[in-house]
Amino acid sequence: MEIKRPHLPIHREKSQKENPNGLKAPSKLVMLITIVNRSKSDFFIDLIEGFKANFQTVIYGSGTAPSEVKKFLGLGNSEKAIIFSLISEKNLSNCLNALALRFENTRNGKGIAYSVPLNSVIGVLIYQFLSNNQTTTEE
Amino acid sequence: METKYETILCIVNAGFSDAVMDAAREHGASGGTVIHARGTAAQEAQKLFNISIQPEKEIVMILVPSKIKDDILHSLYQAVGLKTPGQGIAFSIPVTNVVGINEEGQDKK
Repeated sequence: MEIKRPHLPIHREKSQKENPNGLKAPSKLVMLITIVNRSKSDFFIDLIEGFKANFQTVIYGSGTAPSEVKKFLGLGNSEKAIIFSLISEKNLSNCLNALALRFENTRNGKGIAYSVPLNSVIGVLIYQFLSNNQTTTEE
Repeated sequence: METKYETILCIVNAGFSDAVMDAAREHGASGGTVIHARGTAAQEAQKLFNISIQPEKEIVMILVPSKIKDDILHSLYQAVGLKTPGQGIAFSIPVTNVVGINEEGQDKK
């Protein structure tokens, strides 16, 4: 199967500089917010879960895109699902690429996704759970 | 933090999301998403006056380029600010990665 590269541009801010000594800080968490049609919410939740997002929550909302035209054409279904996922920064770009591809190639699957950086999280275990860091969770 | 996009969250009394979107569209926002919510403020005032208000709110999320963010926030403040019946507050948070927006055709959609 031929994998098409997404045509939609992916806008990225520059990521943090790498430490020249080779020391690595624990990777940061970001909140990924995905807005899609309600009927596709399970599909996208599964997709994001595949990128080791252990915690996701869905809120139902409604879209407000210029609706006069849509109603006229009988396309008035503007019910949306907003998926909040906490995901590790190192998995983020893969996840966004996959999302961009699905937004284009899935029928009725148009949506947007964006990420908001988290400043702090409290609790080591919580952090490990959220970032799916399984290396040191033995104790 | 300087980012190219920001998401504006505007919390207004229920029923004012259309007013929010009208104000935001004037300055180039394309679309938004509305969530229903419940406010929790003014508990003491309610006790004092012995009335209960079900504080129904709507949260409007609008993803916009940072360039037009200030214009939209000002416009929201004028249209649905605290001194209007909408009693809204609006703020923006920076967004680092964005997928699913055509940068050129943004105004059209």
